[in-house]
Amino acid sequence: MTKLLELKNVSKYYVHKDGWLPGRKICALEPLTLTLERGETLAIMGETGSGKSTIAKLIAGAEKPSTGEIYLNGQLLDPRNYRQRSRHIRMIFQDSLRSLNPQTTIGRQLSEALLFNTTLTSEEQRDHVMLTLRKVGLLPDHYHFYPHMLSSGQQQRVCIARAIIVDPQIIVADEAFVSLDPSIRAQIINLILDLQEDMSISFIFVSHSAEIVKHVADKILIMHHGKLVEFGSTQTMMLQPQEQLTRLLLQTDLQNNVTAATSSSHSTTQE
Amino acid sequence: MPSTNIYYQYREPSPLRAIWVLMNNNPFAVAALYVFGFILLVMLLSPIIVPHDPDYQYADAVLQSPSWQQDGQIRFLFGTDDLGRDLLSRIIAGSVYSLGYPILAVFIAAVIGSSIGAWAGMSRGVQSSTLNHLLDVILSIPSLLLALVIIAIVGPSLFNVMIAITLVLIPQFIHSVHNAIYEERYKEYVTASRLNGCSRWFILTRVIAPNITTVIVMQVTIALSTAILDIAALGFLGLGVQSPAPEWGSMLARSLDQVYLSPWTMILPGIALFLTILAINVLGDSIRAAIQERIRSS
Repeated sequence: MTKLLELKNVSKYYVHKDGWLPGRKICALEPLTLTLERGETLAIMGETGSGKSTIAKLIAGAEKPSTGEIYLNGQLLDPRNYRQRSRHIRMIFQDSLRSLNPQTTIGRQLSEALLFNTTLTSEEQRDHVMLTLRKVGLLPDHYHFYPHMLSSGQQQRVCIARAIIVDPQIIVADEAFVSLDPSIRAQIINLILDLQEDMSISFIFVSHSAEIVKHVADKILIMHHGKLVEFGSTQTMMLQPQEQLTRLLLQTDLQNNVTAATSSSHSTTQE
Repeated sequence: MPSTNIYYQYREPSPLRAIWVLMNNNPFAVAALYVFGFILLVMLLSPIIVPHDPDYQYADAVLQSPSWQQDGQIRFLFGTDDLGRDLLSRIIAGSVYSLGYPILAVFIAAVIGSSIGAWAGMSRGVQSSTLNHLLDVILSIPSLLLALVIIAIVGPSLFNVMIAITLVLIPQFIHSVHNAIYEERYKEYVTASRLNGCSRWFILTRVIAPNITTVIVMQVTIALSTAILDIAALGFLGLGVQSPAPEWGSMLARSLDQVYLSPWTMILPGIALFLTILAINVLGDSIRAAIQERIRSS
């Protein structure tokens, strides 16, 4: 049985170029090997600039890896071929308003994914978009809306609708909940959990909030300066953390938090 | 969509509609739009609505005053010029040269310039740079001067003037479209469309294009006023449209000799030129203001 997703020695370097001088190489992600099973939820945590967004973007295909390969169901993913992964791996961006086209209606943006990934007729596309809008708690009326007419929670729902519309196997969310207020955040997370249950999607998300991670994740990956610090199931990470950083990031009730980002103590979970 | 208006509904306008609404709030913009629309209509209908043949010389009515003066005749509403040609007919027929040809030149320049600009904007690295700076040399020469150079080489004619003006306008379109696309293409919504598996052509025409239409419209208004002024100026110098043709600039030049005797032969074509350019400039300006207003309010 092959794993759903496999990363083999995936790394990312950026080259900073100043004029004609040869550029400085900046390492965003050191070679990383990782596997993910079907239906699992993986949380990626770390400080700002630790490379967690880079992992999300590499898996989703928004960035090309400098070295290494990514396999989906044992099949190699070509970083240049967007069509190959667009059906199976979907991404939810950090800023929902900026990831929606301001001049196009919600309906047309959602059918874009169907147009290029399915063979549905335009009638069927329309029906499917309306159905998906209902699934994420919006109305079919929102088909004709432009992004700026919606509230930020609704925009986030549209982004989720765009992610789930083609029945993907993996959804990657890059700090998708940061800009939302706690009640909407809880709503959206529960929505994603429901969808995950219904459609058995694997879910990879980047987050600062230990509360959300504890509530949602099966496995946790801790990053620091582009390096993997610790990787394991949520339970072992909570009970027997090996590294100091893991302890800091996961234990929100600790008084001496290093960064402000990790100290967020919003109660977003619903017991 | 079935719309039963039982409930009070406030529909927020779409982004392009919002610009239109903002423009409608500005009375000058609306006036300019109507004036421009009227001139455009006159130009399109000019073969039908001219009261006289613009080239026919009425020997019995040389330098006839306009009809609102004491010695004017209602037969010649705007009077006649020194050869007895009806001025109103000449101004109406002249709109084809003074507005129609500039529109044609701008259209050709916009099509060529926008396609090269879009190509440059969608490619990267050396290819993008090469395409973007392909015609930059032309930018260093003022349009009128370039037109003069071309005319000096191949002789004065309308066709040569058109080529010169089109050539000058193309790099401006390349730059503005390239910059607009370059600004848009790294935004997240384009990445999202890329991750949807959209083809490059789809991304350019359906995803990016709606976001840069306003830039193109603005550039068109700027280019149009330049083109009109250039054609009129060359006509005035006798280098553009040749003599019997009723071009507004050459009409101005012809009336220069008898401006004290018959001022209307200069004032009336001048007013036509002035109104056209004013309308286009006000229109372009208010579109720009409306775009900025919308960006600020959203």
